[in-house]
Amino acid sequence: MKFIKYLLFDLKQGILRNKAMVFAPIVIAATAFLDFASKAHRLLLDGRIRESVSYGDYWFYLYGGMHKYTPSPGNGFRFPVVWIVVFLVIPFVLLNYPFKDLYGVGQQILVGSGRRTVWWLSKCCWNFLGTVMYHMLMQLTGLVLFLVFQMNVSNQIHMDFINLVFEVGHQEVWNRVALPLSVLLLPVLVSTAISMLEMTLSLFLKPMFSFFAVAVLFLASAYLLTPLLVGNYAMAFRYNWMLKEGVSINVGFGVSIGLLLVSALVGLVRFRYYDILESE
Amino acid sequence: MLKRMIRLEVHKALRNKLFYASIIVGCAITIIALIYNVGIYQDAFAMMNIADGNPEYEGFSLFNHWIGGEPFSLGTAIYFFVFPLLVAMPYGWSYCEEKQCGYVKEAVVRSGKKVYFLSKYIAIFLSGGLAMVIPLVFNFLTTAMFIPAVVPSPVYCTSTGVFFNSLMSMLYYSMPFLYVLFYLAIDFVFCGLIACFSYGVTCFVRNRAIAVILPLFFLLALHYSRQFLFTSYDISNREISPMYFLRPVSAWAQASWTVIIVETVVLFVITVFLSMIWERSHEIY
Repeated sequence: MKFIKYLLFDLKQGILRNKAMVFAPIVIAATAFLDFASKAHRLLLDGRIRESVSYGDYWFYLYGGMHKYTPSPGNGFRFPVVWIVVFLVIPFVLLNYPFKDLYGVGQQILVGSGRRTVWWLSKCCWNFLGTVMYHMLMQLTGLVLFLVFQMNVSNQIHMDFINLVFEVGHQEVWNRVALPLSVLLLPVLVSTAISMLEMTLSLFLKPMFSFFAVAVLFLASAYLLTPLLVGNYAMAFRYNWMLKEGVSINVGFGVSIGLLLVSALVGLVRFRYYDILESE
Repeated sequence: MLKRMIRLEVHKALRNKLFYASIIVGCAITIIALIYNVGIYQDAFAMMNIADGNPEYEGFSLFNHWIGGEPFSLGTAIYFFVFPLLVAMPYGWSYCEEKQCGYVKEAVVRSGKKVYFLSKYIAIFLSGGLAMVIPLVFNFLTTAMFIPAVVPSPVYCTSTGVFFNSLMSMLYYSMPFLYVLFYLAIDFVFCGLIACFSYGVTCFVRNRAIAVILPLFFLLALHYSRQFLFTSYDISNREISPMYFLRPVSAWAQASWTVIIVETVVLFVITVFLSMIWERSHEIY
């Protein structure tokens, strides 16, 4: 009962009353849509793509990331800005609330109830639901814009468009026509795992350092195609479903769920000994 | 009073744990680039010895193997992505904290608003500029311990990444040390202003982590705007993203003085307005 009360409080204060949580995904999705639609329109007019794009292409534009990077003097590293923005905004939006709560009204609740485990688990659920809601809002915004502009709403993808937009060169890619459910779910799951990791890291480091660590993790993942860097599982282009030498989707699910649970558990243990009276 | 206040603020800015942390993290990132580049140089050197051909000394120089001279190593990619955090971290947040703990009131009573805000601006500017430049200088010097400073030749422009239309390319191929010095100066000024942007943000936010992180998103937004401007490969574009033009070697489009000066002036005007005019005109008690 107490857990439900804590959780409802967190959902209300940390999600519904958090304007950035609601507006950031809408603004990002709308801006990306404008960019995506204008690019697709230009390519169609130039005759470089055969047919108009669909919602699946838009989704891929947001969550695709980038192909494998091969370092060379003539090929400077260019980070995938759309993907970085999509995945880096949510750790930023979620960074503040747990500590604001801990050093504010939450401290009173925590001292009064004397139950740290419930407080932490409630924050974990809030973090998970917040991240899922962020991605849902982003995708819903895209969906609404597709309906408003009467564009093709389906999970179809067009490889000619993707090859051009992602500047696919020598990389060997499979010729796909539609997005499967596993591909749609994995980036969101990875995002929840990384948000949880960040919240746990904030108990060991200052919040700005935990954000710094997450930013470095995302950039390193974009630079290196390796199953060891979890960010690779957040890039639809890096899956072996698309890129022949890509990372496994199944392993991605395992790694993300593992990271999510380990982060929550480590955070739980750490929080039991955390000095809650220490000011930030 | 102004001198004393500036000295006090600069002392606080450069003698705090976060300034040291920022320098240490920055230097650690540059070491990743150093290891990678020294590896490349030694491999190339070994290959040249085996092949017994043209040693291509000008193609493997300090100037295209320090962190600012190449756009392709992991260290470079990380450093020129996280630098907005590194420059805001040392002291960009200070006003936020001083407002909350009441220090501002004490300081303003003794020195006056103008002196306090000006000295804080100068201290934050210096801390931001130094936090960017010190790791770069550290990398330049450590790379110089392994790779000779051969004057680059335009013949190897595909290796150096500095082409005929690059910013200060003449200087690069004639006086490369001066070229590096100029770029360090550009980085110092621009990053000082980014740190001051963080100071401007603290006029509106109460959380110091947000104040430190927001400049990164500001630069990401500017970077993303390229998608709307660079719509065709046929147009000769100039780099507008500081995440790319602050690198002495271009990652994609070439840097230009016009863009750098315009963005510097705009950033200066915004930060001065926020910190010296907007905040000064507001009640602090």
